[in-house]
Amino acid sequence: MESWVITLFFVLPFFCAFVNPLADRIFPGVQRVLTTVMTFALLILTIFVCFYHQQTIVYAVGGWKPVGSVPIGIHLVLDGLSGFMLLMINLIGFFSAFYAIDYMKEYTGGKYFYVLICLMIAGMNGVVLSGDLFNMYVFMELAAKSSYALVAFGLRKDELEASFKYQVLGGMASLLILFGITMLYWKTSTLNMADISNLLQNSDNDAFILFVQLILITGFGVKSALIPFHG
Amino acid sequence: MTLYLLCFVLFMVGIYGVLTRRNLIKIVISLTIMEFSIFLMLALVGYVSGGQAPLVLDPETPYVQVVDPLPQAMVLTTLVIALATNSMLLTMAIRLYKKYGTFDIRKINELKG
Repeated sequence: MESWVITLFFVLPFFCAFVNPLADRIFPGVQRVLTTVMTFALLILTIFVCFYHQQTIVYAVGGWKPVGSVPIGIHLVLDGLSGFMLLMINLIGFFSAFYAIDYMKEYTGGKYFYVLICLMIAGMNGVVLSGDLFNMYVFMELAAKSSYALVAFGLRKDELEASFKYQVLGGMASLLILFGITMLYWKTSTLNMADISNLLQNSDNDAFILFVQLILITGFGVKSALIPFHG
Repeated sequence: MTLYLLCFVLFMVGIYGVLTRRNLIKIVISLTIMEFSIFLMLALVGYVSGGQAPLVLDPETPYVQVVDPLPQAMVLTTLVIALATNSMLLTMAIRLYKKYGTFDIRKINELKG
């Protein structure tokens, strides 16, 4: 199987997100079908990649080859953990899109909902697949921004308040993550995850690594509401 | 080293502002201060003492010492994300002002617990 197939996990939702408003102009209501079919196709692709293919896939975006032992460019990596997370994201994404067909009839701005949910699925798939720390940060922000807008979708009092609180918490968390990425880049001068892992195993600066670990665990913990940071 | 610590102090100023201010707009300003401390940190990490701007202007002498261009590209990308963050936050603040008639977060308390 060609390794570019894993780019489809965020190319398809991006395409669907930007085609949805146009398609709605021509055929009103078609974006429900389009989004559901797209998420179902992603689910089929995930099941194929996880259960049938069963190999680690590495795709170098733009075809940049490593110079010596230094990787340049962005790599997309699909291994066992990414496969499991992809299965979870796309299964839940398909069920949400299927459920939203009936549920979104009571809202007037239904077509914007489909744009937002497509962007959110693209962002989450990108976070899981990316092999580059800064690329992961950008995809995470994409998913986060879409989810802030989705929380405030009904524009009622409590929804707006919840969205503002979520945005302040999420903004602080993503800044902590960016701070951790900056510290890691300062230490290792690379953003590739596998390269950072190799370089940090040979280093002995324990206090620095412990500090970065604390910053990153706090950031990702607040972002995903893990147990000491929930509530 | 002092400059790095000053960046961290600026980050702490932002966190203090987010935690203690009671006005929605001031919370947004404090988050922006945090963002800009990270941008300064990124630009400092890529700085090489005595380095020039990372441009090859003269092909005769291509081997001059330049600063690291990658953190500068990261700052540019993050600036765009920060613009999106600020516009989303301010939109929500305006919407909240229309619903509640105030920017005070002590009066915006539909969600308790």
